[in-house]
Amino acid sequence: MRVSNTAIGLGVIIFAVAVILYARNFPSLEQRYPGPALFPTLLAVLFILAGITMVVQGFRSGEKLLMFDIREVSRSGFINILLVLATILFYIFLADFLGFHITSFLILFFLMKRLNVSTRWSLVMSGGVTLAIYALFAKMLLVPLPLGLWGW
Amino acid sequence: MMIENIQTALTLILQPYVLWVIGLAAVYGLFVGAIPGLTATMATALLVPVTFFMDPIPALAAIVTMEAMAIFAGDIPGALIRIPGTPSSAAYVDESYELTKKGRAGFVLGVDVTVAAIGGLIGSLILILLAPRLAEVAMRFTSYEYFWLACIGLSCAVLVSKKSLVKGMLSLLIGLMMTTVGVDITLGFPRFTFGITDFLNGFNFIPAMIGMFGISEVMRNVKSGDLSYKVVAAKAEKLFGGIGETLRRYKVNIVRGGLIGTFVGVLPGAGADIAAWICFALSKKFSKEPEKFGTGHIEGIVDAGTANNAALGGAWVPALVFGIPGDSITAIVIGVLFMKGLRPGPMIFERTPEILYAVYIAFILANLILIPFGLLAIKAGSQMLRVPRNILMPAILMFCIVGSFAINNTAFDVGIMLACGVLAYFMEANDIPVAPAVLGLVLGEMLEDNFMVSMIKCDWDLTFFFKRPVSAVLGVITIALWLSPLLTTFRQRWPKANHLA
Repeated sequence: MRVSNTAIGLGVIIFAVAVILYARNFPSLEQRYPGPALFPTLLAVLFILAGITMVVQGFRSGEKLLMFDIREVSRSGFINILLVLATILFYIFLADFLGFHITSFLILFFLMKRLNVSTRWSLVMSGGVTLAIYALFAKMLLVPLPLGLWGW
Repeated sequence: MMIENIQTALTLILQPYVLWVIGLAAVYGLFVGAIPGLTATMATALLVPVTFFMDPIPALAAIVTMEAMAIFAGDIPGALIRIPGTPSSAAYVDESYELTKKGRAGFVLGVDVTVAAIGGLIGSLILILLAPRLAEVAMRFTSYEYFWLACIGLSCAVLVSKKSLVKGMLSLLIGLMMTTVGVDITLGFPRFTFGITDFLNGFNFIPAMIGMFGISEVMRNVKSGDLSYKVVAAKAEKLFGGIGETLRRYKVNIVRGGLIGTFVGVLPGAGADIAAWICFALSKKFSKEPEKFGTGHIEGIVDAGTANNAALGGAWVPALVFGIPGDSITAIVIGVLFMKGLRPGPMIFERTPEILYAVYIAFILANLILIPFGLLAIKAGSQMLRVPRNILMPAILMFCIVGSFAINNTAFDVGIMLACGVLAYFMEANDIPVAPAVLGLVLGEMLEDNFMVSMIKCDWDLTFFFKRPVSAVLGVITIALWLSPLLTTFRQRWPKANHLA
């Protein structure tokens, strides 16, 4: 997704102002010397400077000021990206219920099918990759992967 | 003392377990390097969850070996399908492919692997000679000097950003801002945690790296519909035919590429890819036959192919001596060392010299085995490129998820990975470089801690930052670096200096 310099600059400035306002509530050191707020506030000021520069550059280059362009990505490519992100969320929220094996297999199978792998290969590779990752992390590195309600 | 250290390090490295790890890391590096779209930095980020559970020596040896292999292997698809395997090979892809079209793929890859090994050895030697000298100087550093060093490192990272300074700076600020999340150093006050206890220790570094280099890469790969390549098989000509002669003819280029490559590697933020671009350009400039460049001429490949592998050793110099990474790979390494309680810096030269010597030996060993392993990879080159990416990408995604989860066993870290992946993807899509953000993420804490400690020590008297001689010199260098962009803009308006820009 390409966004114009002006839009990025404006976004950065808004973010930085929010940081400054939020950091004002941080406690200060003895004799009112700045403490925890100093560094974030300093960074926020630099953020604002960078933001202003980008806005100025955007104006000067004569680009469309508020541009949000997703055309460089094809429609199916964009859906692919969203699906990748969705599968990560799927793992975050459902791995504890379904357990590692099922979640991993479902994610892999679904994505491989979406990327035009044949059904048979998708089944084989999803199972294979799931078992390989399980062997590496759970068996060799002893990471407690989510067990799920069924205990495997 | 030194011999003793070498002996200890040798016995630590030459154990069957460590050698196995090195062998596996070599194969992994060659594979990742040879697949376009998978970079050496991504390989490091994906390797970290595995090395995290190892002792420091096999873990560091694995990363050193992997990066040497990956940077060479990036040349393979460059020659075979005209797509660089890693950004470090991009400078001479066209030149290599021209040679391939003449039926000389075997020759060009043979030269690649040889100069990569030589370059790697030059970088290693400079690392071994330079690091201890610098460490002696660094011994006397206090928080003032470390503050300035962090400033210099961060400024370099911004100054080398190719396209736009302000975007480089924005990237750096993003990284620095991420380090302000969590408990602060002066009062232990929780900043920007929004009541989430997982945030108290700050942004978890490893999931952030896996997101920035793994997830964003997966996103970029799945966005194009076509996930296969047309592969030219390397002609089965004798691989070493004509290489000896090429090496003799361009020995000056090799030395020059090695030295400049190492130096560029030492600069924070500039790594193997920038080293290759610079050396390729210099090669053409100083060549006796510059007109041959672009028509399948090996000279520039010799320079740049030496330089990118030499840069790897260079990047470890500031990383080991000051804890300031020379490139994104060493940035990840430092982040991981911090998590393991090993603070890179002059102290490790005194307290744990065996780790240091083990890194040295790993570097030399990695570059020695680069030739046999590299030759096998060249032979398998066309097969590796046939590995279907539509199976590989989902597998990498799953590995990223589990790797992020594995460090602290929490799904929260997977969320961090997701957020950082989206952020890095957005940044790259808008020409905002990611490397400065990574450096900021690694150095932010060092910068703030040393600044706050210095300020409290001297009771908020800023002049103390210039009172110690070394600190004053470093401070002046920092300020000169900050002013340098102004100088360049000034010179660019001067028409004569334009050809340098």
